[in-house]
Amino acid sequence: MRRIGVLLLACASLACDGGKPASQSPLAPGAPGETPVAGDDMSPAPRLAVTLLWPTAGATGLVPRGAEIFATSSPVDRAKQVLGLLLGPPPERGLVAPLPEGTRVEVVFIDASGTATVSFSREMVDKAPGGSAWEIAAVNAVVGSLTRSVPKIKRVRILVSGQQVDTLTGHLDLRQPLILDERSLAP
Amino acid sequence: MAARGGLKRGPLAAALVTAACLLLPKPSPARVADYVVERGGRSVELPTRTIGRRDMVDLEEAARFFGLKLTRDRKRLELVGDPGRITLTVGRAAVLVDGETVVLQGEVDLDDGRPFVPVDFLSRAVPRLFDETARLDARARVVTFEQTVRAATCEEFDDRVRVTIAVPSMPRTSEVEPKGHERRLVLDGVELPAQEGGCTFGDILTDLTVEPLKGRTQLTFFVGDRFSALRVLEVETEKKIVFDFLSETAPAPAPQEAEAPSRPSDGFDLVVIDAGHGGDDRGAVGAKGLEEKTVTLAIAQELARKLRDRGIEAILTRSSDATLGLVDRTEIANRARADLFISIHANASPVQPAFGAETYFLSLEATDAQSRTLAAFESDATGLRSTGQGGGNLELVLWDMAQQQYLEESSHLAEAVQKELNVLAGTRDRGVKQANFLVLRGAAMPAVLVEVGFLSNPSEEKAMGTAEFRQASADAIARAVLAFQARRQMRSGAP
Repeated sequence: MRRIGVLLLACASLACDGGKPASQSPLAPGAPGETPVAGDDMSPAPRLAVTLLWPTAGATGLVPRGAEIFATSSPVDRAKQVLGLLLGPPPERGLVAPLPEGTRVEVVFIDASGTATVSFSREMVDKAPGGSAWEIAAVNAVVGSLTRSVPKIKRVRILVSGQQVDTLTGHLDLRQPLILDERSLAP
Repeated sequence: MAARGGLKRGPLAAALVTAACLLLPKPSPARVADYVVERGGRSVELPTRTIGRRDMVDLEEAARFFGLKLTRDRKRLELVGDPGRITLTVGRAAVLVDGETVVLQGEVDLDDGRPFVPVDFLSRAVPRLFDETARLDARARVVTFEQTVRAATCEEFDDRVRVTIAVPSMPRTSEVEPKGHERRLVLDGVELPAQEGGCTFGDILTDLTVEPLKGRTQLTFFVGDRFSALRVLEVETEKKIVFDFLSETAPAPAPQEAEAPSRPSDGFDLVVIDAGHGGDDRGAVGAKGLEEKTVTLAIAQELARKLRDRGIEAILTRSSDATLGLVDRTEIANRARADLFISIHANASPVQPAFGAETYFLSLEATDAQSRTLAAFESDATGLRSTGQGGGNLELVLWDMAQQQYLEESSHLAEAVQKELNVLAGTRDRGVKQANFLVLRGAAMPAVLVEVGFLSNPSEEKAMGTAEFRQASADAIARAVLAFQARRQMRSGAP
């Protein structure tokens, strides 16, 4: 079982960002408490195409980019993988990381109605550049990437350090679970 | 009882008792433990004597503590100060507090030439002067003053009278069938202090009473000829219930619809300008250290000056480096019944290239129907509820979504602002945008948020530090406000 975990971790790093180190994906499958389902010990784990939303460097909005995660059966695990990719480096030049450096995902859970609750670490606020453009991009990158990649997730509630917050840096209303605001997408 | 028994023995006995009293020397004052007076966080020990088994306190010391000037004209003593005047007479128990008589437990007396008053002077006469209450604890020898708790406070506007009732916890509110000019509501679960009147009444609301009953409170409002509708808003977050008595000229609440406070006038003369962030919240910070809160305050102040020069009154949500909540900012605009709400911000991006100005108005796209339903339930439990008179049913209202009915006007204002900002040299048209901004949600008037530029962009940060940029931005927004004003006046047919 341990061998499978190590193998999956290695695969995760390949799947997340084309062979870059696994450290860029802080929440790879195999994290404590999450055991992804693998098929055959010797064959690569099945993968799943997902869509991540990345802000453009010119702050013109979010653009969708495809990526792959492991096709684990747990929607929570898939959500963690998606967020792990968002916390990594952007897939190409001209796109930027939506979330502040050092931000960690603390908790993810999904209720029966399809509301995912994601708690980020304090860095989400403390290291945020601020500004409406950043906040809109950060929130919608999280919300849009999760709702587009994990079918069970219909809406997302963002918490910081387990606490509900009114806003991240004084702009977007986070008091309710959110769906992707299509207006945040780049034209 | 002994005295009463003695009197029953006949006129002779009574005469003997009286004679004995007259012949006996007056009991000499004895120094006893001082009374302590506590008021407004201050306290004082008042020299106390016992005269004829009655605790008497030093009037001069008391006057000094209460900030009153004591004057003496033979037997007549007067305490005078801002709140009013108390007149006492040596040898008499009756004192006048602003013309009203209060009878004390004993007479005002002198000890070695200094006036002393019965201790209940402190708990019965002085509080009337200050419109406060005081508790006398004879055992602990303490008199404690407290602010008078008025259940209802009133504000009068042209088109409505607003009565605000502070409650310790949110009661269940029910309305009794209106009877003539009487509107009666019962607040179950709270007992509020009794009150009669206490407001300046006119022809919308003529009187009110607050009557505590067992476990509940009955409110009775007497409405006048100009009264047309009653709107009740329960503000759980602030533990208060707001009763708006609307006149015929005020817009009546639409039954069964979410309804928000609105400004009835078609006039256009007041803009609330919100300088984004402030105090502990620096907002975005440029590479050179320029803080968003400084830029927004400077532009907001400049904009206020420019609008006032053009005959439009402007209120700033903050005029200094103060910390202010987002909801509080909108609340200032709502309370002032402003015609416009403009929130000034400076933008930021994780990387440098982004530049230009953006103008936002509210979008509710980011919340789906289920979220809104959830919000309604959560609001019911923790936020704002409204009860309307229509049908007598409690009607759920989200003030939080007050901006919804102004979205079209807000979009026109945003376009006008963005158009003017685009004219500024060096800015790029990033266009009018919509977002689910908390500071805009509760605004009961057209409202926009202006991002004047990117602090994360070095050249824009440099510009934002200059008076020229701030004046130009303020000028552009002021021109947009005037254009919006002209548009509205043209549509309403106003001159």
